[in-house]
Amino acid sequence: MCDENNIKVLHMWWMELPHGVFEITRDLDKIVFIAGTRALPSQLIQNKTCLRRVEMMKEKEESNASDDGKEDESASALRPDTSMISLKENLESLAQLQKVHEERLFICQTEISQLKKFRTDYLHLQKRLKTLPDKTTYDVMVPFGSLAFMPGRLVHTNEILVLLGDNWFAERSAKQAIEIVKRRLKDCDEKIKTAETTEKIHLNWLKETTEVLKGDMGDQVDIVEKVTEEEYQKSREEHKKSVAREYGTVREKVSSETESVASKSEGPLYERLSEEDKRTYEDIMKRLDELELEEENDGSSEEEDEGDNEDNNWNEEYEEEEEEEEEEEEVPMLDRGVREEPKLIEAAALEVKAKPSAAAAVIPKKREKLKRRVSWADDIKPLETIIPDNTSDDIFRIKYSSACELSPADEGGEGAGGATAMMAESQAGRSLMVRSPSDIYKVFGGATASHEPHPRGILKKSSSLPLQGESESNNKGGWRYAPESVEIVTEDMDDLPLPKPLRPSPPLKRKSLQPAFSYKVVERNVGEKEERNVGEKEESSDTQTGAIAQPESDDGTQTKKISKFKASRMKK
Amino acid sequence: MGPEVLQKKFEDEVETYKKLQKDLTKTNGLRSQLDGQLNENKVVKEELDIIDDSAVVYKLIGPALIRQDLEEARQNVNKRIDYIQQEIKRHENSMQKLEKDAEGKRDNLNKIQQQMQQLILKAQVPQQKK
Repeated sequence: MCDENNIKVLHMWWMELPHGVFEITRDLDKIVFIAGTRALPSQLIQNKTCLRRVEMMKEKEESNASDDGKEDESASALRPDTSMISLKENLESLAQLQKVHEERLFICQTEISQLKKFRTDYLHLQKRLKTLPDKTTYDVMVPFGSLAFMPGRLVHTNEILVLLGDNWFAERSAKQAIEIVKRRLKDCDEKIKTAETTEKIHLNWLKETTEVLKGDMGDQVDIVEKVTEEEYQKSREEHKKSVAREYGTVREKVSSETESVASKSEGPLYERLSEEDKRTYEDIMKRLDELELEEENDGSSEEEDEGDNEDNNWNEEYEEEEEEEEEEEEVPMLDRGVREEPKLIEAAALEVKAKPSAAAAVIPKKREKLKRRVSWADDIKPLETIIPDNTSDDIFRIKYSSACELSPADEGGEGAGGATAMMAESQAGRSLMVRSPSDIYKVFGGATASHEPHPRGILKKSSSLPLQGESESNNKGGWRYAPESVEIVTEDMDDLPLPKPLRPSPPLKRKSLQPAFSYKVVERNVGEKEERNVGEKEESSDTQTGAIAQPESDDGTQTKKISKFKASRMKK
Repeated sequence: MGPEVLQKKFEDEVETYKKLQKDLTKTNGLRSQLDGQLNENKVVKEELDIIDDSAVVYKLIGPALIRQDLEEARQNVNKRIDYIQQEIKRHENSMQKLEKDAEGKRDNLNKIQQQMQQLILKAQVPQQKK
């Protein structure tokens, strides 16, 4: 009989879950039978011992709080009076620190395992919820207390009471419950991720403390190599030779690569070069490191000829740096013809500026061999690290600000100094391509070049200076600035105007840097009187210093003047 | 100050300092507990906002599940969230105060410790002379 009793049990089929309890309950109004007795729903509710809500969250939080407290205490225990502890005590405290780290790591790991368990639980739940509404009732064995089961039925399979948190329940369908589970799964996964990162951090801390501990314990030994002075010198020489060899091979490799690459079509140079560049870049970096080491070695010794060596190395490194930048900026500049041009100019500039040491002379050659474009990035910071130690007196150092002009002193300085000058210039200039001599002004021009292309002349005004046609060529002072095309104006002697500058750009703003000349080439008709008049003119009109004064003319007068040579020729 | 008096003073200070520390940890624990509750309530709020108005919501009061109005439930949850946030702030303030007091006490303790050490040194010197 008992078996046949269709006992409709108000049974709670619940799944105990950390984050909530999913209860599948019957409508409380329905009649409840347990073993034939009729019980009131309320009574049954009271008997709901199975209605347990595992507040794992709270428990977890409490455990966290206690952990934090523990951690704080342990951390604070380590803080005091470290200065007074002897070495042994230091070791002890280190060991303690290690223990604390281990504990924390352990806690982290337990947390992670817990979260992972939650995750699997949710996945199971999701699966169950999907299949639950397939049947309207299920025959199940219902847990009865803690020691018994009872055969019973699972009803209302689509009605699910979901614990949302903080004693709030919501009645949902199976599908809606699945949605909730999905959201909780997402939260779970995020928590797992953060917990794993903290675990990693703790692991690293632990590793560090163990390493320190090992070191202190004496497992580590100072590697001491006893070497006599002679041996040391010998080894250094050999090292240098091998380094030079290596360098040579690297360069050849690089050059061969670029040559082979360049010989192919120019279209896909892009991609190919980038691959090559990476390799060469690495080689060059390796080379740089070696050179750095060498520099250190060189810097430490007092016996060797530091100046030349450092110059050599410096120049080489500088070159390396350039190559790096070349590669980095290779992208827009793949035209071979273009590359060669600026390279030649660079080579020329180098020779002019740098001390003509052997290395400097070699560099341009090597440059050509490489067929690379050298460009100047605005920031050549890495160079700073390569420059040998500041304390050495052999290197002539000039400090620059970005907007300053080159002082003539640079050219007299050593190669290193000269190269630093170039570096400063590049910092000031733009990374333009130098396609023509005038571009040099733009690139190396500095702050003034942008709004005033007129250079400051260094030649003193003197009446002996010839005029006109040679005025443009007398650009020694103003070679750095791009000379604009000058219009040739001829004027009568009588029409010599007052000193009113008629320059295309406004130099009046700057009193100190007035242009050397007006860029007006004036041809004079008269031959003999010219010089005298010119002298007068210059003295009267010129308020500038060191300027090659030109006869200035009004806007109106456009009379043609012929140079004295032309005049003399004409006369003949 | 005599050494015994000093020592007594030191012990008293240590006692108060310990008490302060205990309070500090207690408040800390409460605060983190509140933090957990806050998170929980935030999740509840999200869920309540998502479900449609026709759904049924219950609240567990003691051993009974009591049916609630959805709107009412939402408001209750919001109010609870605000309340918890206020509590957290209050706890934080008290924690700051406690910390400051603890710092002061620590300084005092150090001072007294130094004084004691000086006394000990002074006492040692005449003994050595003897």
